Amino acid sequence: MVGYYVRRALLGLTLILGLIALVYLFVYVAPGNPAYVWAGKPRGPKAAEAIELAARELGLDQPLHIQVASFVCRFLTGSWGASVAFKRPVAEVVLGAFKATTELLLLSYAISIPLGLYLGIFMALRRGSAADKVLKFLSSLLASIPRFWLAVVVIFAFYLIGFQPLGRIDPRYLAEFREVTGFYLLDALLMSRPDAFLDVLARLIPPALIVAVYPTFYVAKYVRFALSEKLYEDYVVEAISLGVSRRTLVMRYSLRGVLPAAFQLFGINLVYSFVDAAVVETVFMREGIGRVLVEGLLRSDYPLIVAAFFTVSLVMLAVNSAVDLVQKKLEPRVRV
Amino acid sequence: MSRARPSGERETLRRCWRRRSFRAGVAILVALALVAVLSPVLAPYPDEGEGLVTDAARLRGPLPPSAAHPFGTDVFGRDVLSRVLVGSRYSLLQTVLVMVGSLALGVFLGVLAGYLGGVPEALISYAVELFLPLPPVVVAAALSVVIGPGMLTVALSLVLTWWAWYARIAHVQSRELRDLDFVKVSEALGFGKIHVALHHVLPNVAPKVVVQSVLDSASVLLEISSINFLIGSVATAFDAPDWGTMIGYGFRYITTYWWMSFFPGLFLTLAAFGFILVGDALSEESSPSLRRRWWLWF
Repeated sequence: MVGYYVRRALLGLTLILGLIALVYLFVYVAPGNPAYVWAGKPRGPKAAEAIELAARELGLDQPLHIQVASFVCRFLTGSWGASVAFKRPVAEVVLGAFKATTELLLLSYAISIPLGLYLGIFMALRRGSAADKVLKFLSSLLASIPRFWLAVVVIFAFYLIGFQPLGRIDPRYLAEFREVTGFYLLDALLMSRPDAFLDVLARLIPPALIVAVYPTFYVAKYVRFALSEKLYEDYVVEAISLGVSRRTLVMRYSLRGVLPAAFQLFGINLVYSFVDAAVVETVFMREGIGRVLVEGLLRSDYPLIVAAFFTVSLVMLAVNSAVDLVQKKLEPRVRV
Repeated sequence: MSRARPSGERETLRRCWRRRSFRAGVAILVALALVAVLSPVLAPYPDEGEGLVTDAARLRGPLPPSAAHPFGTDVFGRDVLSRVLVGSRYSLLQTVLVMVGSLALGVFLGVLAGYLGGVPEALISYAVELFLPLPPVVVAAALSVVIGPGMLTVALSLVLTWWAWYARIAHVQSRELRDLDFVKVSEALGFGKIHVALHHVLPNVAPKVVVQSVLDSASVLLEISSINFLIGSVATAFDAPDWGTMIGYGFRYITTYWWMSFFPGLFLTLAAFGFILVGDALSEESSPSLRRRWWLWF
């Protein structure tokens, strides 16, 4: 048991090394000239100088082992250079953006985990009924609506009724607003201004709901399948014959076998939802990883994009490992 | 001597066909595939569909939906219906490319890992653990800077992240097969490892992975479109009529020319819905316990 946790933790650590190796490949094995790409594909009179500087920053004139060592040190200490697009240190930009996206993702998962489980159990218990059929059709349909398009349509609908929840906070609060944690909901609470908190929440809820659509219905569908499968097992018949109540049977026994996989699905879907969040927040004109990527693409700000790649992948690796550990806790039979 | 009963798959398909939702899904997909193939003929303005700003278009300017232009015309005056029809080609092609690429890579490596065991298994499962949680959008952004933006870059970045998922499934499946009698017997009979992997392991692994890939295809389509949406939202000129790019570009004009981004989204939803209907029916019918037609409850 303890051995599993140790092995999983070790695997996690080696995965971080693998990720750094991947980033190294991305930076140093760029076709053509890595320094040219790192400098943001400059043009104009100062281009040669910029490429020269980038080459020195990357250590391209050093022997390979020093190059690798300095790269790893630089990356682990978070000195990722300056962003051309935002004119600020890359680490600061990416961290701030990441917090914004995380805030959105957390809220949408706080909505979708209970809702998805509830809907799934509801459908499993009424399998074949009209309510089940309607919900099943609805979940297929909702899963096939692209979230970014839904966001576009919702923005248009809001525009028609004159409600514009764009950005993360109303500009009129900005004068007294101070970023302490980077999570605006908390910051607004720290400001002790309920109206600012409500404003932040009102701007957060529409995109969060849109991002929540996919994980909710995906997991609901899974729980419906898995749970109704469990309800055919022999122990269920026996429990019924022994007079175990329906509530106990489902909540205590059958659901136990479904929950671990359901949580793992939430974990797997997180990567997918992250893309959704990045795109939906761009539509709602919120700051976040989506905006960072877009600006980075627009100006070929490669250091920024690589830093975003590293940060996001690192966190997703960590979440995956955490999900594995939780799953082990819930389902002791699982192997590495 | 060892193939999974071929009749099993045919039987599954036959049972699927009895479902109305499966037939509807197939109808949607066949119709869209036909549209994609025939788009140069079907589109009222095929040149504009491909992205050409013709003189007529320049004169026309952005028009709301009307009888002549059912979906309206975009900021360059191009007929949106033509662009959506021609766009089906780009969107569906990208999806197929990603599915085929990640299936081939994933099943190959997964079978290799599960069947060979030992060092290859350790290496491949490490790579799977590493690649599985990478969000495709950041990979696509990085690749777009390095090798330039485009349809193939987006497809490549999706293959790079999706193959791990199929490799994991194929790995688990073939690891179970490794110790089964028919594999052991054919090894004992002196068939080479490659022969056994190709003729005995692969046919038993493939159906499950393929069913999973059909189930995933809607997600792949939407993910590709999300990335194209992001790229389209900063594009200065937009010529590739991919649905995601069209929505991304049209979104800037959402308050004035809403039809530019609305109609491509409808088609995108329709295509994803078709994939989901087919995938759901397949996955339910290929799992014996879900196929049950009777209900036990109290």
